[in-house]
Parts: sequence; structure tokens; C-alpha cells
Amino acid sequence: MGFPLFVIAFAAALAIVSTAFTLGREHRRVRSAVIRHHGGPPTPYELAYLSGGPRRVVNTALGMLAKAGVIRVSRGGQVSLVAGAVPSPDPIEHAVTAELAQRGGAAPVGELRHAVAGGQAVDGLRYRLLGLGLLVPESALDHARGLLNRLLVTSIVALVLAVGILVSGVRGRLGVAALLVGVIAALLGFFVYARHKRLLRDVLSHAGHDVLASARRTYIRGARPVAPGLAFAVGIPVALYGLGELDEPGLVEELQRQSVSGSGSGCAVGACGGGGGDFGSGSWSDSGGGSSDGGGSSDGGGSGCGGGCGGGGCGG
Amino acid sequence: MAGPVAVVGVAGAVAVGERPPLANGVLPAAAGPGVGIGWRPEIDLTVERLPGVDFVEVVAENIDPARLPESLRVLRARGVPVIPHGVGLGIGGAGHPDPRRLAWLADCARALEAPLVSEHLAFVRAGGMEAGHLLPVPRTRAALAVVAENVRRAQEALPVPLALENVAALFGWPEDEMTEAAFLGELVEMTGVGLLVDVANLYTNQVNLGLSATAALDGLPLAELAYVHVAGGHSRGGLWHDTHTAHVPEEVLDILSELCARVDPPGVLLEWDDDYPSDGALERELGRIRGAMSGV
Repeated sequence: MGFPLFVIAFAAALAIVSTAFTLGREHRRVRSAVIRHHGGPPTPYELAYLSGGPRRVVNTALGMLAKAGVIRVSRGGQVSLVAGAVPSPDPIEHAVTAELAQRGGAAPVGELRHAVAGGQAVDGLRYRLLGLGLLVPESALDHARGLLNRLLVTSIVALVLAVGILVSGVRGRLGVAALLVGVIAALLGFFVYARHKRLLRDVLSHAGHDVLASARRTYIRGARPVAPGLAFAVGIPVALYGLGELDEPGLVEELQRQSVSGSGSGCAVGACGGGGGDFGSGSWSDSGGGSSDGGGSSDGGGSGCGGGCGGGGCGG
Repeated sequence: MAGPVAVVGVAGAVAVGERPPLANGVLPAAAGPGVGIGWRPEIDLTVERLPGVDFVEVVAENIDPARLPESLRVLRARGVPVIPHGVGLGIGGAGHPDPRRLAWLADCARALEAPLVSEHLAFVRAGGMEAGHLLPVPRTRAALAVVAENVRRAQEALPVPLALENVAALFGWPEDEMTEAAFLGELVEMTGVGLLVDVANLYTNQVNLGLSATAALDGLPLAELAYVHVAGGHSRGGLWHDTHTAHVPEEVLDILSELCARVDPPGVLLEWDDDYPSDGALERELGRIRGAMSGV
């Protein structure tokens, strides 16, 4: 009985090693298959997408617009348009202000982020990054994900086999060898599975990782802006490291809200009546400074209770 | 941080950081004029970070005294006085003021440790109908007696002094027997109520009803001035709309300067209720008000 068990264990191990090897090769192939980035310096929004996905893009725009005085953020996470502010020509920033205008000039930050992150402007940015070869199309990773699933199944088979041998009683050298091969193969399979599963969440190409890593070397977290202007003081720091880079804790707190909470207001008796989603794909988030691989470039590697105003005036 | 502010009550003023007495009576001595802004939820963080805001005012009907907005708690913790400003009491109505509304104002005053409460000399409802506007009181002797009784009732119900604001009238009553200034003067004399003079409303009445703002200032009992309102608006079809949504026109600031030439106002407050501009624009607006107060 020992020999057949050893053969089965060996076959499972072979399948796991083979799948892991193929998976690594496929992963490298996909990430290297795109054209190299030869564009100019990345914009804050390109860096934001590479660093934290659509959510980071919108948060970067919110930070830029708030600091520029185009939008106002109030407690409870309400974002509103500032009257008289000059509209921005940037498509992402325009998308934010247009969304606010469509909602009557104000919206909860979570809903605003949700709408803009899933809108055409951010989608356009994604396509631009795909065109520059900084992102890998999601579909290009389908085969790798198929291999990943196969690796998981094979690893489970090896583990079940090892447990079966252990429970039924190990007999002879071949039995011990079959157990060891099964255990080692299962552990190897789970390790490779976990590693690639994490990496496959990230859709950055090698070039994308290089651009991001280069930007992080140039713009050190917490360092003084390298040049004047909001893009350097706000845009790039938030793009690379998240909203925490804004110098106003109160603003950061409100912008990080997922939805509007009660503001603690209420109305007097009879006086009223008249008058986030997380879009980070995979591990993209806006809470910290990195993409899923920490910034490396290896493939192994965000009342109506007015004062009775109107007509001739408020009078109050 | 807010600087010193004095908001005069009926017979005195309260300074920043000091706790006003929560009972009708003499308030601490004045500490100099201040500039404030109407606190609104939409601009709460702006108000918190605006430099030189000495006091704020909040529409009393828009807050729950049992659950004050965090922003107001922050401002109070910094020592910034917060004045509850009522819009729905209708103290100029024929009936007595609603005890529930008075209790609400009193609760707001206590929760905010306010030096005073302000309302409008107006009526807002009658016969079960809500006007939706601050309507002018008929300035007759009979109405004066009724309003004076209403003011006394309000004063009894409130833990702090009450100040009443002149309104921008949509119309004047044909049976008016006296000017608004004379009416307010007698009301102050009869009740000891404080004055909240809205210079933008004086300007509105001047443009729309031909009532001289200067004459009004001459007639008002400015010795009982609690504080001043300033606001912007829009001119449409020859009428001035006191919308509180635009920069304060020079004409309104001129009236403020005239007022300041007669008396040192304990505080002047900018009202801005919608279409909020940038922080910088609001800061500049407060600077313009300071300039008008100093006659610049």
C-alpha cells in the first residue's frame, strides 16, 4: 500500500510544483507583455490611480479642490461647492464639481466618492494608464487566476492525502515518504497560492511599479514640496500616501468618512418642515501609503429650518 | 483663535471665556467690540478656522440643545460665545409666545452658556397659519402694549437677557402710528429688552420702503445695543432682496459706519446663509466689516 500512496503523493507534488512554476511564468509574462512607459512625468491623478486605485484618485481630487477653495467640507462629511469658485479644467476635478452640481451643490463625501470613482472620468484615467502600459488589463490575468485556482485544488488534494495517510496509520518507509511528500507539497502549494493571490489583486505592470517607485523616491512622505503649487503640496503627497498627508486633521477626518453621520442637529417643535464605498480594487485603499506590494516593482512582487427667508428678504 | 468679544446684554456685556450668569441680571463689564459670523452647518469647519471670529450666532430652531453640533462644542470650548438666534417665536404676534418655543430658546441658551438670546420684532403666524416670513408688527399703541407683554413673558422664561432685531419689512401697515425706531425705543423703555440692529434690514427698508436708515439710527435707543447684523443681498427690479447670499454692499457698510459713529457696538456679526463663498472671501468680508467699524 506504501508504494501506491507514494506515487500519488509524488504526482500531487509534481502537479503543485508544475502549476506554481507555470503561474509564476504567466504572471511575469502578463506584467512584462505591456509596452514600456515613455510618457512625461505622471500627473498626481495617474500616481493616485497607481498607488491607491479609483478611491485614491477621488480623494486626491477632493484634497486638491478643498485646498484650492473650490469645494468646502463640513463636519459630518458633507461636501459642497464654493460659490464663485472657478471651475477646474482637469477632468477628474471637473467630475467632482459636476457631480456636486448635479446633486444641488452638496453631497455626502461617501456618496460623492462612490459616484465619481465609478464615473467616466476615472474610467478614462484607467484607460489612459492601460494605454501607457502602466496597468495590466484585468482580462490579461484570467489565465493566471485559473492557474491559481488549480493550484488551490491540487494543494487541498495533497493535504487530504497526507491527512488520510496519517489517520490510517503510516507503514514503512514509503508510507513515511508519501506522508512527507504530501505535507511538503501541500504547504508549498498553499504558500505559493497565498502569495500569488495577493499579487494578482494588483494590476500594475512592471512599468507601473517602476513609475510608482520612482515617484516615491522623489517625493518622500512628509517632506517639503519640491516645487510650489498645489499639485506638489497636496496632489502628489495625497496621491502617493493618502489623505493623511493633508495638513488639516479635521479635513482629513471628514474626507475619510464613508457616509454622513448625524450632525447632532435637531429642530424646535413645529419649527421645521418648511422651510463609500471602497473602490479600491483588491488591496487598494486610501489609508496608507502603498499599493498592494508596498511600492516595489517585482512581480513576485479610497433644513429646512431656515430663517424664513425669501421674497423681500430674510429680515433676520 | 477668537479674540476678546463683548456682547452687551440689557445692562452690560460678557467677555470671552467668562461664563455669563444664567439668570436675568447685570452681565460682566464690556471687553471691547468684536466681529462674528453666523454659524451654519455648511460652513462649520470654516467658522472654526476663520481668524478673528470673536463670537458666533446660531439659528436656535436648527439645533437640538440636548445634542449640540460638535462644531459648536468646539467653539464653546475655545471660549467663543455662541448666541442662539430665534426665527420662529413670533413675539410680535397678537397671542402670547408659545411656551414650548420659549423653553427651547432657554434650553439653547443654557446648553450654549449664551450671554443672551436674540429674536425678531415680528410676527410669523396667526390663526394657525405660518407666514414663512418675518412680518412687520403694526406700530400702534395697542400693538405696543401687546408686544411689551409678550416680551415680558419671554424675559421671564429665558435664563439670559433677550435682544430683539428690526426686520426687513415686506410692507408697512396703513395704521402705523410711529416709526420702527420710536416703537423699539418705547418697547426698550417698557421692558428693558436689548437691541439687535440689522443694518442690512435698515438698508432694505430704505431702498424698498423709502425709510431713511440714518433717521432710523437717530431714533433707535442705541444705548441698549446688544449687537449688530450685517448681510449682503441682491438688487432686482429696483427692490433690494436681503438674501444673505452675497457680499455686503458698500451702502450697508456705510450705515454700519454711521452706527459706529454714534455708538461702539459690542459686536457686529456677518450673516451668510447660502451660496457660501471661499474661506478667503469670508475672511475678507469680516475685514471689510472691521474696516467699516473703524471708519476706514
